[in-house]
Amino acid sequence: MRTKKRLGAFIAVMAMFLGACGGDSGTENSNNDSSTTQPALAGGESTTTGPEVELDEDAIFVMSGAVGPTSFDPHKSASSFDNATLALTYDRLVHLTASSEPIPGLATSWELSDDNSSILFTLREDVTFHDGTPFNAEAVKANIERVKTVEGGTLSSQLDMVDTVEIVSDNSVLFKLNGSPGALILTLSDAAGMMVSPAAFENPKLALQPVGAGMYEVANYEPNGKIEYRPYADYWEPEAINVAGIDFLVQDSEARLNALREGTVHLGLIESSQEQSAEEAGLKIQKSPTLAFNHMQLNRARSEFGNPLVRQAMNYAIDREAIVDAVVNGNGIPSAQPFPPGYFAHSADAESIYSYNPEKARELLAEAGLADGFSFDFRVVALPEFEALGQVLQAQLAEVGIDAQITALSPADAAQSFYFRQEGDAALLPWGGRPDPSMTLELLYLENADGSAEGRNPGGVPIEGLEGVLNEANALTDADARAEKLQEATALVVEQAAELIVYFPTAPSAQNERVVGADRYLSGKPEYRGIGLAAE
Amino acid sequence: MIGKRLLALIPLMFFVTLIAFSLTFFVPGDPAITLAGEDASADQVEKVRDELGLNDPIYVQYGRFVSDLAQGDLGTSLITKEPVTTALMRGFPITLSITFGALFVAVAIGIPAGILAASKPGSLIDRFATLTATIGVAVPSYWLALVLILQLAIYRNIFPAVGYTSFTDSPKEWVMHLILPSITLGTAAAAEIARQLRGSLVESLSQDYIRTAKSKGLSTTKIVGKHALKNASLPVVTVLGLQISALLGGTVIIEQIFGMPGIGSYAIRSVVANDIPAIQGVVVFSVLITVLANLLVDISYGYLNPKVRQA
Repeated sequence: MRTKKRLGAFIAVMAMFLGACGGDSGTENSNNDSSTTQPALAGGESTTTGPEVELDEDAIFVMSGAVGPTSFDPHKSASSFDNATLALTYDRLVHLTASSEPIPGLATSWELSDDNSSILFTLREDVTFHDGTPFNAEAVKANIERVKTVEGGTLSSQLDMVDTVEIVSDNSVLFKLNGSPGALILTLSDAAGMMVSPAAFENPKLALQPVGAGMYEVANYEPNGKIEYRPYADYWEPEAINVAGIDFLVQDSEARLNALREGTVHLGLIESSQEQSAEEAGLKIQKSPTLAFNHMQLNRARSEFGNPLVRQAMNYAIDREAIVDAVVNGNGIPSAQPFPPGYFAHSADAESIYSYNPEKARELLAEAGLADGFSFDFRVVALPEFEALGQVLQAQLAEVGIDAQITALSPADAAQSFYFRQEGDAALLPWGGRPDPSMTLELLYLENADGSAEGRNPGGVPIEGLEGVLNEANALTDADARAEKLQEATALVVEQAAELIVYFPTAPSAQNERVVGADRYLSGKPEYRGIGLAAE
Repeated sequence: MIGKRLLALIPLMFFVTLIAFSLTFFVPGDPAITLAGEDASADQVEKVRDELGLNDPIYVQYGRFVSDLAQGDLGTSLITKEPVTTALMRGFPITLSITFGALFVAVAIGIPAGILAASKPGSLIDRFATLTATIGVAVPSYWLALVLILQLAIYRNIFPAVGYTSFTDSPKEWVMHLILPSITLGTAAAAEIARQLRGSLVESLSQDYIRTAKSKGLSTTKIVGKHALKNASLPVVTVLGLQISALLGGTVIIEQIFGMPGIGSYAIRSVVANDIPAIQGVVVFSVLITVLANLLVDISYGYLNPKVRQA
């Protein structure tokens, strides 16, 4: 054991950065105590406010996940699950707190111009990429242009609102905007804001050998096996690194639980059914929602789903509390809206719109001229949680005369089947969340980008009135004002019963008792800053 | 003889490539959409489809597939962007280690058990060995794996529960990590071998030439070891050959349970994720390995039975 590490000092350093501008710096602290039975709401910053803990700086922290990244080239990342593994080696312009508030990353501050036509970013100085290339305005410009234009890029549409990037000085860049800037800051906290060393742009192996400016370098990468991260010696915030390295292992859930029990893995998500075994083994359990939710998404161009009365009826017909208890042992937050409590786009007004009321459901159906009910083609992903959920929903809808005819969907093909091939009238799917709430609202509830029926809104039927509210929200960058507008948009979507959102899973994560600083992130994309192991 | 067999491989592999290639059309899902990312527009997907050459006529795509294959290029994983060949080469030593570990267990337990049972047919030892063998075949490997992990790894830290260490990193750890998987996988094979050997050995031992040898005063060891065993081993080698294919398939589950990133794990991940190039690569590779393994078994026949060598 070498030098003592003050976790308290790290918290102090983090607190300093929270003072920078760019939105609210929340100081909401929540309790991720494993003994609470209610899932904790939006996590705050580091939850350690107790006595300082001595950390083992020579330890290798081992975490386990179900999948590795689809690419170590962040601008070609095909899945939002990639972030957890990418963020360890790629810093972003903007970073996030555990409750999804933006804080300085590689950019220390940002300022919107008076006429809303540009944003000036001040960059952190004395930062270098892992290959020694300096991080500066030129690098930022090159990266943003790459996101927008690189062949095989998957994120270009996320930066549609950025016209050009101008170099103002070595450490400041001006983003010229051609549209609504509101979503930009949070977008830059995600894969689109990950800075890749420009010297590595042409490297054909970039998808397997990352070159970022983040806390760790990838010393060894075996796809589907493990990723070995080792600290970057010249990282700009050394206090964020408290271990000799991080190993990320790809394991299936049974192997992961056994590894956690024997202590060879320190942190990983487990299934609800494994919670008891994990607790018996002395592991600490954390549960909190992320932006991901499970929903029965409706193709509003099909069946009777074009009629808001029908959709509202369906929202009254299901008992979300009972569903969460029965299907996931209470490990979920029942919800009819697309954002969890504690998130800035969550609407308090929308909370009370629907409650379990089969009578009201039947009334609405009668009003819609469907007193005898109707049937529809219901696709359900062939995973245990969804199969159980699908059957419960089918039963509850049947009570009000709606016949949901279930067909199984293969998990790997589910999105393509429902979104691209337009198969099924409705589908029971997970939604993984997006960097900015306006993206979720646009993708799910407005016309598809190319105006076709293909896309995250199969059928392409928009929710009336939403576009206007979203445009207003995206024109704002003042955090409070924007939050209010987004909440209005959320309430609208819920009133119109765009679909049937059921719950936000709070799938438990298990950690070794020595683990420190592993906060649950509301975004579902943890940044692992300051993570460590207490000395034995 | 070997030359002829190797030549026969060519039409076989051609047939296999045809099947592997046509998987693309039977597996639902568009690889272009998988690659293009979560929120790609129809335009972006079309661009990716062009880049992948998916708009070319089928025979062009097949030609490309085969010519790449001939150069050892099994394509690139849609999910991890790693060349499939690289992934298979990395996973192969792991799968091979487990398979040989299981074979070792199978032979180390199966052969002595078979000999013991055959030496006193009908006795208590014979009945006990046969019963154990039957149970060994019947027990599901994943159940055995979980029981062994719980009892010997979690509750008593004798063996590691998950993971693989390569021989070059630490020979000791390599062995420790392989013991539980090998026992799990090898038990059923041991049982098969024991049963088969018992049967054919009992038959061998009842032959006239054995009685002659006994009357000549040869020791039991020499009788069983040098004469009877050699003749009885032919059917056992056949079983061994069949077991290799079964073991290769069985490692799929074992690798998942023990968290070992071999070819079995790779196969499962590829199938679950609809990673078509990876699935194709696994199919072609597995067939090749199985065929070569069976070829080796056939060659060993020649050693064991000179009559076969002349054929």
